[in-house]
Amino acid sequence: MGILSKKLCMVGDFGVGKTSLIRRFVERQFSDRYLSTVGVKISRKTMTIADSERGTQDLKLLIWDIEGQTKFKAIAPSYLQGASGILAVADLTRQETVEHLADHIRNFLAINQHGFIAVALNKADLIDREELAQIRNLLEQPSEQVIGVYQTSAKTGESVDTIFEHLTKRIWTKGN
Amino acid sequence: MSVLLNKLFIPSSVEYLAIDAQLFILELSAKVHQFTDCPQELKLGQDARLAFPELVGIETILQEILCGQRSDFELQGIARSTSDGRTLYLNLTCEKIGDNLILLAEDVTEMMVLRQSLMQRANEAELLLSALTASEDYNKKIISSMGDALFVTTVSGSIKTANQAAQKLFHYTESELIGTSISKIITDRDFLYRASQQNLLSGDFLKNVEVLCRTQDSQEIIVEFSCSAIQTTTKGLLAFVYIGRDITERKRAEAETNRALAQQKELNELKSRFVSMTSHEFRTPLTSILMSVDLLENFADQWSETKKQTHLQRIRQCSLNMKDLLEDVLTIGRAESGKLDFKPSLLDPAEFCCNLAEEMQLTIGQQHTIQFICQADLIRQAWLDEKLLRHIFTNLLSNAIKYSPQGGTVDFTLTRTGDHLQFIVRDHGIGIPPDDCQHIFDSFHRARNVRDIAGTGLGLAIVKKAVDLHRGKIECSSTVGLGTSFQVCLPLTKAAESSGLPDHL
Ligand SMILES: Nc1nc2c(ncn2[C@@H]2O[C@H](COP(=O)(O)OP(=O)(O)OP(=O)(O)O)[C@@H](O)[C@H]2O)c(=O)[nH]1
Ligand SMILES: [Mg+2]
Repeated sequence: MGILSKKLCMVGDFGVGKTSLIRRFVERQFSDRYLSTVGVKISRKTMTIADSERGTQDLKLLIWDIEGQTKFKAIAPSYLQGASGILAVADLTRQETVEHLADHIRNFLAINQHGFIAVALNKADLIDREELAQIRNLLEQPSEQVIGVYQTSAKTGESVDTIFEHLTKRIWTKGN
Repeated sequence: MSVLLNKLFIPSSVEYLAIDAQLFILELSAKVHQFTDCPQELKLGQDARLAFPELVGIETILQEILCGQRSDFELQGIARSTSDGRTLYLNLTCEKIGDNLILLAEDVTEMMVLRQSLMQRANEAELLLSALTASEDYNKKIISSMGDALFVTTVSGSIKTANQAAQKLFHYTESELIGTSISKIITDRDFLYRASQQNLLSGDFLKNVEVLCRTQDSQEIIVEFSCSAIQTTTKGLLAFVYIGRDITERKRAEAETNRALAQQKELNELKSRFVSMTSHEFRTPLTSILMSVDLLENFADQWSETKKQTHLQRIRQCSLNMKDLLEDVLTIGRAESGKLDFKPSLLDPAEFCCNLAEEMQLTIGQQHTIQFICQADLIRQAWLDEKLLRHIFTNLLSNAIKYSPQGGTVDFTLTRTGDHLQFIVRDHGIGIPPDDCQHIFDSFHRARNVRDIAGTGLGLAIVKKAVDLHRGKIECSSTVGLGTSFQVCLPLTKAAESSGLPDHL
């Protein structure tokens, strides 16, 4: 298989911006139009990561854009099989999506207990800083597999590259 | 050599890919190319994960299938972008066949596209709902937290919404307000009429109108209301929004300021009256004194002893007048600044009055008689401040004499009514014009009919202060030309002492 491939999944409620985050990260674009994802769509992105001990490495990311969870349909566990990590995404303007993060994380860890999780509190461009602090208090005490909580915006690009880079690097250095 | 000798069981809508344990491609069906987004990687002997990236990560699962630990693995609804820009969906199933694996790909585009359009609608509706709820929540929070009272009524004035501030201001619960008429709150009919006459077209609205309102406990409060008509969701049907701010407090503060201003004005008047009084009252005796001194200086050696005595007597009398005046000014000054003390002691009121009347009779001529009459069985002891009593009755008696220029009797009576002592000083003198009656107790005020009768206008002011210190009452009734009567009522109880000074002094 030549270069190293790693599977990442985007999980979260519908409409939180999973597709938009991938689009920003891979294509450097954003659209205000909402097109709900059904099933799953895989995007590829090759990243070069550097580490003082291990040197540099090219890594092929396979990013799974998974249909968002709705009241009627949970995320199919089969999609999460074999993922090295997930981006658990919530929409800062919808409190319930933040509350659901803990479930998404638990479901993933049930399938892959050594997987890594990065939490994206997305649409940060729509919310005041003070409100943000309040919402962050809602988050449960993170599991040790959670590498960090990021306020992201697919619209402005805030922290989008960072969250993917941090997650990928952690998978590479500590991963299975 | 075909691994799929018995591939007959594979339906025609399904394409396949046979792979070995290392995931290298062994065989592929004719149209399986359409299901990969990397057709160039789809060739015999190639790693199947390049053309089907879904296999990355599930290598262990595939091995389990090969070992028979697991029968199959399925991924549904994998999206692929086709070269012509369409999206194609497939279900991918992996099963064991012989010693190898077979990957079956079934086109489910039609079903998934249908599902997408359903999901799209459902999710959009859900997002809209959540946005609406959020903004409704937000508006509700704003409305309930605003400090001003807010009512929304129907055209007929029935209350539909009342926020917390409104409930608090008017002392109603929300359920008591909903459905009742706004006229129960706003009692100003004219305002309600004007409010109901507004329409959407005019664009303007009633702004900051002070209206009288009534709370549940029938208190009247002044509220500054603005009212405007709004369009309800039913086209053509209006609702009215009333926003009100309680200005009772502001009004009270305004009234207080006005009162303070009036007091200030009164004080200024008092000062100027004082200046004009003193300049007059001091100048007259001073002029007399200076004149007598002048005369004595120049003519004393030519004058008889009696004439000299007359002038010396005049100087003494004028000086005494000035001393009295000065004392009055000092007393009123002490009273005004609250420094006049009330120090009651047990004394016999009748004895006090009788002595005072005799004392005064000595200083006035034969022209006037002070007649003291006392109720026979009057109590012998009462808590009274002798010094203040002296202020009260020397002033009242000397006034009675002063304003009876033709002479006559002054009646001084003392009776008891309930727990009060009642003193009456009645003369048959010139009287006080009705207009002046209400001002007689003000400092420096003198009635207009006093003409050239000397006086400072301080006496009655001092009397009033002394009566107040006793927590007593003084009243005056008078008819011009017939005479004046002052009634002083002083409480017998010691309460006056313990309650101390009246607070307005
Ligand atoms: N302002 C703002 N809007 C965003 C952001 N991210 C996504 N959106 C918008 O949110 C809506 C949903 O975004 P998607 O990326 O389609 O959401 P999703 O999580 O993929 O939704 P599903 O596919 O239904 O699960 C779209 O209208 C986006 O334009 C963001 O960071 N800021
Ligand atoms: Mg999506």
